[in-house]
Amino acid sequence: MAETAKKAVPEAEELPKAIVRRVVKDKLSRCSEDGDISIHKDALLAFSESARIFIHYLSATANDICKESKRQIINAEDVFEALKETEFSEFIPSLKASLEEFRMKNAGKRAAAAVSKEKENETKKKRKMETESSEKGEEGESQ
Amino acid sequence: MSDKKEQKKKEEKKKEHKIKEKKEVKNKEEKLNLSNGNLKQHKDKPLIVLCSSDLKKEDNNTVVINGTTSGTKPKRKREEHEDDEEDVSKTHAFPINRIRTVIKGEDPNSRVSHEAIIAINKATEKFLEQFTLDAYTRCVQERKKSLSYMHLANVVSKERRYDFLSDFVPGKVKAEDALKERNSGGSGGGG
Repeated sequence: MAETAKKAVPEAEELPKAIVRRVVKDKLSRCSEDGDISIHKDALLAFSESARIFIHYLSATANDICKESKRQIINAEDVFEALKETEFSEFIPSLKASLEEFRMKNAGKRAAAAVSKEKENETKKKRKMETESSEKGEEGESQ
Repeated sequence: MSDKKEQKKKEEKKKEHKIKEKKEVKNKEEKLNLSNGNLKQHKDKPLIVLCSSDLKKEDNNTVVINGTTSGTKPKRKREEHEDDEEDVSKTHAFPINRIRTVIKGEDPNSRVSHEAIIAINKATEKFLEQFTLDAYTRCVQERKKSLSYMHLANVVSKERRYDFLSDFVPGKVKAEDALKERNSGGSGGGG
C-alpha cells in the first residue's frame, strides 16, 4: 500500500548518466576478472537514482548535524559525521585524501596564477625596454 | 630609409597592441578557468593556434615580438600538461554545480561549503562503487552474466544501511521474501 509520491524529477537534478555508467562499469571491471558483466538499462537508471537519493540523504543528515552545532554553512567535517551516522564511515579516509588533494591543487593553482601574472608583467617591462632601446639604436643610425 | 623604419615601428606597435589584447583575453580565461578546470584545455587550444599563426606571418619583420612568444609558449605547454594530469587524478567525478543543484533541490535555504560539496561528490562516487560491488556479489551468487535491477533491489532490501533507498528502489523480491518468510514460518512447523 506504500504509495511512493511520484514527482517528476527535473533534469537539472539528475546526475549525468554517462558519469554514473562510467563509475559503475569501472568498478565492475575491477571486480570481475572476465570483465564482461553487462548492466541492464533499468539497473543503470536505478544506480543513477540511488546516487541522487544518496546525495539528498547525506546532505540532509549533514544539515542536521550542522544545525545541531548551531552553524549556518555545512562543512566537510559535517559530511564526515553524516557518513558515520549513515553507516558509510568506510568512505571517510578516501574522502579526506581527495579533499587534501583538492586543497593542494587549489593552493598550487593560486600560486601558479600569481607566478604567471608576475611573468606577464616582467615580459611587458622587457618588451618596453627592448622597444625603447631599439628606437634609440635606430635614432643613432639615422643620425 | 627613415620612412620605412617609421613604418616598421608603427607596425610593431600595432602588433604589440594586438598581442596585448590577446594576452588580456588569455588572462581573463585563465581566471575563469580557475573556477572551471575542465573547460580550460578546449578554450585554450584554438587561442594558441591563432596566436602562433599570426606571429608566424609577422616573423620576418618583428624580432621583438618573437622574443616574447618564445617566453609564453613553454608556459602554455606546461599549463596544458598540468591539465592532463588533472584528468588522470581528478578529485571529483560529478560536476560540482550539479551536486549543488541536487542539494539545493531538497532544501533551498541550506548553505554548503565548497569543500563539503567536494566531500559529498567523492562520497557519492564511493557509494556508487560500494553499491555496485554489493549488487555484483549478488549477481555472482546467482551466476548471472548481467547486472539487473533485481540485484540492486535485493541489496536494498537485505542490507540495513541501504534502507533509505527502499522507497526508491523497491524490489519485486521484497514480496517474494515476504512470502518466503511467511512460508518458512509456516513450513518451519511442517518440516
